[in-house]
Amino acid sequence: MKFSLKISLVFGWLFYPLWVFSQAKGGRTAPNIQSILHGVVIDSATKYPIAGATVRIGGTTHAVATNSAGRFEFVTGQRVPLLLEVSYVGYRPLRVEIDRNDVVLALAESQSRLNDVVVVGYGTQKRKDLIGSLSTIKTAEVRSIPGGSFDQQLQGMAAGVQINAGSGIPGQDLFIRVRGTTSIYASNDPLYIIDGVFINSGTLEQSTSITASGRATSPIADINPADIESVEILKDATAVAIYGSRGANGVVIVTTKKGDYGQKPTIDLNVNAGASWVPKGREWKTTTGPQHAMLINEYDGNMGKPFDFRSVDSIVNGAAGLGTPDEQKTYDRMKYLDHQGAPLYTINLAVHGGSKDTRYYIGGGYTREDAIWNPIAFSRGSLKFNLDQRLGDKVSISTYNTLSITPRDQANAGNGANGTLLESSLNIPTWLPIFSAAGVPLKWVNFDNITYLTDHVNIKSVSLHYIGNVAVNVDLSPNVKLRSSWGVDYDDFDLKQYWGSNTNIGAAPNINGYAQESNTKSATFVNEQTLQYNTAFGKHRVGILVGNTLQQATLSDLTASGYNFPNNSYTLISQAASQTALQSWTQNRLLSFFSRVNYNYASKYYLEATIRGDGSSKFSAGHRWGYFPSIGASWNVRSESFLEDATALSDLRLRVSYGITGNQGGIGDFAAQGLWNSGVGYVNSSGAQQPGTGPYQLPNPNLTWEQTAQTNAGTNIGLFRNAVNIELNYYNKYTTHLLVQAQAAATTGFSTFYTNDGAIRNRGFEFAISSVNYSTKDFKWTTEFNASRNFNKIVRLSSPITNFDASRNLLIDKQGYALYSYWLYKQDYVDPKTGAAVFRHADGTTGTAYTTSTNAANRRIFDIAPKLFGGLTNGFTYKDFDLNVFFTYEYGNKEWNHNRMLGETGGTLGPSGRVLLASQLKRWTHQGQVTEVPKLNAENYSIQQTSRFLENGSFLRLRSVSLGYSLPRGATAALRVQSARIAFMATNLFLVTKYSGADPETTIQQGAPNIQGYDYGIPPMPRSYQVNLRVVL
Amino acid sequence: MISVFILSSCKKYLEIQPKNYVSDASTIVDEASAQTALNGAYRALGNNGYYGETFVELGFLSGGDWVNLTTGGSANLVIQNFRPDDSYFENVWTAIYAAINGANNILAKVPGIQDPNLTAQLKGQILGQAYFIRALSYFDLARSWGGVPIVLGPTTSATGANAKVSRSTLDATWAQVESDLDSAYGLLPTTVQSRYVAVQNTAVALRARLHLYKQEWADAEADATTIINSGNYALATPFSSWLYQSTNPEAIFEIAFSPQNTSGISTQMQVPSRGGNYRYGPGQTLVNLLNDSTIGGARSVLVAKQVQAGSTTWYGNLYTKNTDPVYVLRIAEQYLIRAEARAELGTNLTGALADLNVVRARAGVALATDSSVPGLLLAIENERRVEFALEPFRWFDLARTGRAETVLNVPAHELFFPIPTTEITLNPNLTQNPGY
Repeated sequence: MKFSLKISLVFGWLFYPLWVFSQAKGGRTAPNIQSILHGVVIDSATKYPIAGATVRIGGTTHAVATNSAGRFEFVTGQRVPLLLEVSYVGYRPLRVEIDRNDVVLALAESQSRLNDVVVVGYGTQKRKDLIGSLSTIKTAEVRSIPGGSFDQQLQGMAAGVQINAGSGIPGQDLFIRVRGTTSIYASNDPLYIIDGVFINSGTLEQSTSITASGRATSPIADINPADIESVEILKDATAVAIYGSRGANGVVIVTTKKGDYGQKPTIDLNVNAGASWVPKGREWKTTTGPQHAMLINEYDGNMGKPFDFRSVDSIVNGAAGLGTPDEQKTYDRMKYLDHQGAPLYTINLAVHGGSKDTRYYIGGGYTREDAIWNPIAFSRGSLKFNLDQRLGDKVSISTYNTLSITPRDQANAGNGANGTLLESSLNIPTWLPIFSAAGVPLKWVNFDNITYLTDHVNIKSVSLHYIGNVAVNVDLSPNVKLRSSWGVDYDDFDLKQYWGSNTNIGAAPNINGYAQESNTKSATFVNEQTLQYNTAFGKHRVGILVGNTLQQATLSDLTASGYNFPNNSYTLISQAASQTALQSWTQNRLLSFFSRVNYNYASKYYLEATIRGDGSSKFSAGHRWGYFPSIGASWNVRSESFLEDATALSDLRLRVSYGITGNQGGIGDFAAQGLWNSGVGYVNSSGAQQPGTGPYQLPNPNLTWEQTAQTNAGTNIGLFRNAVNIELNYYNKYTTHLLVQAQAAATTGFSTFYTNDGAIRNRGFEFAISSVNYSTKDFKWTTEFNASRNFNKIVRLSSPITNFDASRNLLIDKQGYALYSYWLYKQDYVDPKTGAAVFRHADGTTGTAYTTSTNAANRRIFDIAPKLFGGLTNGFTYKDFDLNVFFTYEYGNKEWNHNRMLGETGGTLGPSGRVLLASQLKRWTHQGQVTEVPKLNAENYSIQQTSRFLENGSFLRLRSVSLGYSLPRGATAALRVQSARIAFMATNLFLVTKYSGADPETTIQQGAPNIQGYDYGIPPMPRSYQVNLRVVL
Repeated sequence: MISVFILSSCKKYLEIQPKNYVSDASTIVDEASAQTALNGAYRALGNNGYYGETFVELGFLSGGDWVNLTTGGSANLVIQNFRPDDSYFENVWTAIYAAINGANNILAKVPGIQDPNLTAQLKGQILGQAYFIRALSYFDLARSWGGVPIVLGPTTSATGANAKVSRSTLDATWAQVESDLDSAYGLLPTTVQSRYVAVQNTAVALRARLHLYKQEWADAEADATTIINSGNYALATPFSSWLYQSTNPEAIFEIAFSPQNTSGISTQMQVPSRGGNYRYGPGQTLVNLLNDSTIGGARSVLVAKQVQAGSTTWYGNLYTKNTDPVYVLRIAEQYLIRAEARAELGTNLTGALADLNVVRARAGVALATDSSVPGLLLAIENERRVEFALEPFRWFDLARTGRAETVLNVPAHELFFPIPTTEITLNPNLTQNPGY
């Protein structure tokens, strides 16, 4: 015994395994006085007992070691209170005064990345003990990036997680995929869990009678990133299976900041101020008035029609000329839209600390970000209150609360003619004046006047959002913990809009002003009970978790509209002559049971198995229960004796896992039922309105869970004392029983129905490396890089689905191809002899626009997914300066340039139709000319689904740069602050891409939530500059 | 404790009834629900894919007198470049079959209802209207596509028999229309109460048009005469007086709209300053015809112009608000049906000329004098072009007479529209029209 103690004291820190091998059972020391002091030593993070820890009475040589259950006993004459010193290799030594017997002593691990505690489903684990695949992001690293919501700031930070900011509008929904898209219609967004509350991440912006074009606010933006401690993204089956049906698309666990026990109050002040601009060189390029007129005349000439732009005196077929091209002026509408120097500012103030039994975090914040397009702005006020209170030794209670209010000035940035910003500015031919000679704003084509939209449209939304949780933890014994938690996510989203009588939507004389208020409430309740049992015997450690969850999600909406107002001074619905109202309500429930068993032997061999059963109200009885198992194993190869001499190799672990998760998101709450709707009223024979009912949805009682089986194999490698860490994962996700809103043969009287059909495979790899390249006392350079590739394929689908974009059918889901591929006629080249666009058919033959478009079979299918995506971060510190440079990239992806498609019409719409973009000037004009823009005539421009507009979207973006200076210790002491730092930050400083549109990363949700790479009417990512000041008192 | 309690009622916990919609098991069970289902079936006629917008546009945009003003949209339609993947065809096809399914539900379920409030007479009236709705639906399908799949029972499953029906011949489809109209005639009331719902005359008026399409001239003349002599309908004078009106004797049948259930067609034709999207406009030729006092006369109100910054913009103006009624059958058409039938029969050319001149006189243009058969037929065709400039006739007139080949220079196979590509993919028993 003494021998082993000596070993532990002298060599233990270096040779932990040896020490463990030599360790005998802990026991009783020689008695002095017949009194027994006993207790248990546990790991502060995992709560596992620690065997072989040394416990010594302070100031004596009297020491014992803990046994396999972590227990120790002293026979001692000393009385409490007395000082105990506890030590164990790999942990920080603990000196603690105890005032009673039977104590629990928690040891914290010493600092090392591998000892980081990461949050997993229903618990925490050390990074080195992980079997599952997950990414951790400390949000402090990325908070400098504006954008409203924290998930936007995660882009490029985690391997396997593809995030595209849908648009440059702060606080908008974004495109996020964890290991590819698994579902056609069901939501592919991951599950967001904030402090144990499952929250709704879908927009509450309802599509009501007024188009919500391009408006999709994200409830995630209601959360103040400053309150977030860390974000973990769970990816593989072992990690997510405990969430069963909720985990199919990955799980994002957000942990907010807590206080610290026994710490005096700390005040943290963080202020940002800056502004953003439309990135130079990314603006759309249009033709000038004379260029537009010249091109139209060229089209007219090619078509054998009289020139439209001819002298005003020239009357043809009763119509006067529009003036010669030289006489045309050029009017710039974009200057009314662009908001250059849009202000950004943020202030966050937090107080945190604690006493012996209490810890707290109180944070308040306010943010305002104006978008680079008028009149869009985002602001958020938030209050965070986290409290943990111990009630005696065995019981603690905690409550985590987030309250936020998010007012937005919105506008229609997106598709559709009515009231949309870009169509009213970019898309109108530049020769058409914006104002009449008398200064009255004019409307052209079918669009609004941009000045009406930026000045006279009022679309204001306010999201009042509460996320809260109360939990009780009871230590039934040192090994057994019971937790019961009650959480709520309540979001009240109120949207008011008024469209004046000078806008299309509110146009006089028929509508005469249109007001609408929509109040949408989303309430999610979660109740969970978990029982955790941890034990250890010998080198075996076993943990067992059982639990259940009850969830209920309710979404209700009340929308009132009024039109026919006396004038634009009256804007309340009650003042309108005509009023209508809409009300809706929907609800679903989920009842779940789950269990997890994990086991490890000597921290070398790990095994973990989970099972979860989910019952969903969305499915009919008999089909509603889904069972989702997983199993994973990990081998810490480095700790094997045969690698003892491999000194350069500091970490080597191999991990494999397999599991099944389900998905029921995205489909309606009542998708399995046959339904009739009302609201299809008609008049009776005397002309009075009567209610009406009609078929709405076909039943499918067999509808059931979509399932994804996922295999993961990964390795973690640490080199040179973990100066270099590499993680490599391969995954294979196979999704079956896809929940599909299939197209029904129209002869049924329905256009769609819900069914389980088909199979999708996502395969890919993720690579992440982090390294400390150089480290001295004054200078440190670190690099983090990640790269991911995902291969997506529809393995089976009964019939192709093409009805995503109702009028153009640009997209297709078809067996054998990637999900949401583009379905286009492939323009091969422009014939240098004739200027005709030549299309290459699927069968290899070629044809002109007219001969090609007669047969849809001539269309080709284009996969647009990136071949590689990820991020690169370089951090430098020199003395008190720090510099962080962060790039994101995608390679091999394609982007549908819808704006170009609309702006490159070859003049087919006549002089006042659509703007002609500058790219139109490259049209074929003479024999021998090689160009991809064909001769101006009706036929060459009769196909919109032309591959010419599906462009290379590869990009490298300098996403952010920050340069900081922290006050040196002497200065902070003089100022009596703990720390102070000032930083300059810039985002989106440059973008390398061949894409001809504004931004290759933008996408709108045209027709379906899962579409990617569809650039239409939305602003690019802004370029911003900010100053940040942080003072900690 | 609470979870234990909930577990015991676990099954109940997972049973939620929708509020926005009701289960289709309990939809047509008594007099009131039969009536609301009938209202829903009428509403289906006003769907945006049918008389609410797209079908009407299909009928006049394809006639060559209109220009497309948006990217995509009707670009191919206005130049008769009919493409099987054009969403116009899919939208209309889908909307019409939805109306048929609504009618089929009534025809299948109402006869079995046991409800003292549902008298035999009332039951008959409801069924008669459902027969009429179905007849109109198959008529519009047949004049667009030729023979189509005939579905006569309600759909209960997306993959059942109704999803796999083959096409019937054109004759069989016409026969179905006629049979439904005869059934409707036997059940519908005689008294005209409003223009929104079908009565016996409504069925007869549609039958007159059916005979015209089938070139059964004597029957067409007889049915049109019944309507003209019924005393229930009269040409409104001046021409503009029936526009945007919902109770005018000009109309035989029109679809009603309301703020809750709007039509889409006014938005499509109106200019932005009047709340429209201005997706298409009248071509210069049509503008000139309508504004010619010897041709269009009072019908010049069907188009209007906007002048700003020196540019003149013409737009269609038959529909100005999304609550305006949409016209399906008008008395003017019955005169022109009879005129055409008489001209084709050749036995009463004076009568034919007189019928044509009734319509011309109302428009305030000089009376026609040429009573030769070719002269009359051309005059009637031209009269219909301006009289129904914004109603679904011009294309169908040129197609049914085959004149589209001459007037619009379209190939013969285009006289019927292509079956939508999507539908052929979904139903392997569905065959494409020849030539597409």
